[in-house]
Amino acid sequence: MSEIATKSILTELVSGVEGQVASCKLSQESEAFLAETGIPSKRHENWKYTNIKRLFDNGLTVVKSAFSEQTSVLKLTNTISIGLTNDAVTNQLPSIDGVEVFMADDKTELLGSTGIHQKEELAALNTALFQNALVIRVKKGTNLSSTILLDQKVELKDNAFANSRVLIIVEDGATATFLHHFHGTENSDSSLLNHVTEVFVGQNARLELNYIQEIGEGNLMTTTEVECQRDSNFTTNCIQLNGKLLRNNLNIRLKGENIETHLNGFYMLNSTELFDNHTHVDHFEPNCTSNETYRGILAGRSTGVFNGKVFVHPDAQKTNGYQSNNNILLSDEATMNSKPELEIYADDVKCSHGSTTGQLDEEAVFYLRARGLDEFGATALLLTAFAGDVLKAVSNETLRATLEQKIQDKLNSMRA
Amino acid sequence: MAEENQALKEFTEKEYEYGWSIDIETDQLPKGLSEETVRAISFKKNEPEWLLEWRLKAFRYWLTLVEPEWAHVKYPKIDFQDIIYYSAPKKKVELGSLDEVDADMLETFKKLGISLEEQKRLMNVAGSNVAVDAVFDSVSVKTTFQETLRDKGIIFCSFSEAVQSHPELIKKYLGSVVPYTDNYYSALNSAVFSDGSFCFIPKGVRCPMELSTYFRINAMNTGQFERTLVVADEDSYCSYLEGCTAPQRDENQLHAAVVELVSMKGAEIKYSTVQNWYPGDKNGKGGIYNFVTKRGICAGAYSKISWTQVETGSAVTWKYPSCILKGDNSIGEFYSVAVTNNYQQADTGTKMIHLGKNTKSTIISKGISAGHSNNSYRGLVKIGKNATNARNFSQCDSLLLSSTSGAHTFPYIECGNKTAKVEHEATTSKVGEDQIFYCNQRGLDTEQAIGLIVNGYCKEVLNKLPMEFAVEAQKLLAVSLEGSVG
Repeated sequence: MSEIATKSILTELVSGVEGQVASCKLSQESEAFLAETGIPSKRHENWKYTNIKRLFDNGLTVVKSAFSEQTSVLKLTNTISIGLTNDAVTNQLPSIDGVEVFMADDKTELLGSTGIHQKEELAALNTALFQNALVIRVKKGTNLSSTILLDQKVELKDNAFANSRVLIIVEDGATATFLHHFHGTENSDSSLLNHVTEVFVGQNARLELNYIQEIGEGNLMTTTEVECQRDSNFTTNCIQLNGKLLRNNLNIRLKGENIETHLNGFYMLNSTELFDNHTHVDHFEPNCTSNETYRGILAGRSTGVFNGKVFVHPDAQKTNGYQSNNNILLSDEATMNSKPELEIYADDVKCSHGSTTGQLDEEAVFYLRARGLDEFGATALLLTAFAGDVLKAVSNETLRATLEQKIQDKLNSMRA
Repeated sequence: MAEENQALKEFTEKEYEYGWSIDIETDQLPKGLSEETVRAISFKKNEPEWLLEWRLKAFRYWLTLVEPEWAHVKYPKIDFQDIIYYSAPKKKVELGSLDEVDADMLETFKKLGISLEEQKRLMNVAGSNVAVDAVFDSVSVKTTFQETLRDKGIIFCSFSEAVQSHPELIKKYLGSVVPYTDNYYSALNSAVFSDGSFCFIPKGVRCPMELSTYFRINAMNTGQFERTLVVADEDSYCSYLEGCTAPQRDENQLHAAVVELVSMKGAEIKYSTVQNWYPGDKNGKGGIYNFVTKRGICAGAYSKISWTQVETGSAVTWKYPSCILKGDNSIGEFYSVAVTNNYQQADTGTKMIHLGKNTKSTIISKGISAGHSNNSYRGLVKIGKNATNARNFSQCDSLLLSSTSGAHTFPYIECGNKTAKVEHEATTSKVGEDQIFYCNQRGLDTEQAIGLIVNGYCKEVLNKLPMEFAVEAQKLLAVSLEGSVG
């Protein structure tokens, strides 16, 4: 399909929807950007291995949903839950000491201020279309001991298209932990959820943002745009369990000195699933550290994509940047495409990356089998340990235990 | 720090040593590119009909393409109509007799710093063991040691000569590894290539000497489009070296070569490059655009191709010597040192395409950036579905010598077989203060220390060069890094 046709699809999508929240300026900018770029095809470097035009070419219809009371499918302790629908409708706005939770309107400060809608096509589409945006502001100095759970239940029928949006602000000196859980089992493989989260981490603030993605047959694209100020600490852990096509764009901008950031990801694929992780860390100022670990297990006829970039700007001396991507292939039909990138314009830096793709060490399997484990048991034990290095960054213990169980379940399902 | 800056300044202000040109009467085509140009080149070379057809097909295909922009380099658009596509020294050179080589041209060779060794060989000094084919502008002027090689059944001659004497081989292998449809510059090269070298090693023959080609762009506004084809038949071996220089000119000159290697069952080709084209002056003016397509195919089982390159020249380099590992148990290697200074830009790396079982590849890339330069490694390791037990190891290190330079790594790793093992690692750093301090303590000044550290850093690659040239390359590196303290 030609670019022009794709553009008319976009115009149709955008004009057919009413009740957008984004301010006039934001949506105009997004539409202008989209008019220029269109929906990316596989000819775009960032979409080389992932075909999303297919979804748009099949036709998508923007859907609205109504909120019905729900309880989290995760059994976690010490958690405050906010239920969300496909397009982020909710009436569960809890009151938490030191935290403001509200729905955005077109005057909400900071919404769209990262400028992501003029950099990435899907974020622009989201900005032009979203109708609800949840805002969570953790006020200055608040030390939040519970995890805030965004419990997004995804239910999208054939050709349904939803856009959800979240804005997280952690003000100076505050500490918070978030979990965004995308879940659903009834999704159509021609539907699409396009989500954007904007995150602001203030000076001396500390934020841990966890994602769990398990949406059955559905397609999910998330864009997370993070801005960190000096002396802050930001950690993100992204666990991808199922979905026909999962795509995460994670951009972190380190805008002050002495920032520490950790990006962790774990993905497990089977059958014809395609999971794609794109990360981009921008070091603007000196003395920052970024540390990235993405690991994956691929079975069936699945395809994994990892593209990580560390960009060190000219003034960002004394940067420490580390990237690692390790993959285990369990089947000859599975494919892993890994592209760890470094782009460095400062000289006094320590940056390195490593990427490996292979299978389990036969000797390690043999060792375990000699001690009485069957082949599956031995493999599963080694794979769980492989995941463990990523999971250990999750601070909420019940969450970690839940994730371990979910990984175990998926391993069992792969056996079948 | 002040001392470091001073030394750095000296380095960045270092002038190109090979920046001279010699007035030799040349036979040139007028500027511009059209079907007429292609026909004229083919006519001048008295080529058979099929080759002209092939050129024309390539040219028509080229017209449908747009210039690629994906590389991490910036340069003003090239006006392809402003280039002379054919330039040949007017005086006919009889091959086999040294006396007939133009005296000016011998002078030229004398001036080429690293051809001092070749000089002796050109003079046929006893005991030397390198056969040289020198390509001057567009035309191959001299191939030495033809006789010795002929005894072994080895064919080593200029490309246009091979077209006349061995058309069946050229027809069979030309474009078999790099088809004219491969990319923008390979299509251009296929249409207008003027000369180059051809080498065929017959079954079971171990080539007794290093084969060497020397390229030099001399005339103004000329592009150099040479084509090299090396075919190693079953169980043969050859080692091939190319070196390049160009005169200092204000405007940019284009060099778009194609190199094709074919390695049959059990054969081994070792291809080494010392590239020292004019890099432009310290403000980034002038210099060569080096847009080269190099690819080898390990067609048979147990075959091997090894690329070694030392890249110190060119304003813009865009080059990815690659290996297609088709035969089972075949081996591909890539060893590279790329040094950029001033406003030079290099986007270089390799592609290793694993198709056969038990194929192995090794990539060692060392980048050194100074001044305002940008140095990128871009590589692809692809493991096909049937490449059982394929193995790859890649290591890409970058060394930064100034805060205004950039070092980048763009590796693509595509793995489609579970028994394959693919490893990639890269580091970027500057020369450690502790390392310099250690050397200082032991009585070396900072400059010597840097030289020592950088040489050690590149040693892994330099060791892979043929003995005679390893020394040259080491010297070249030492010279370009003179005073590069930082």
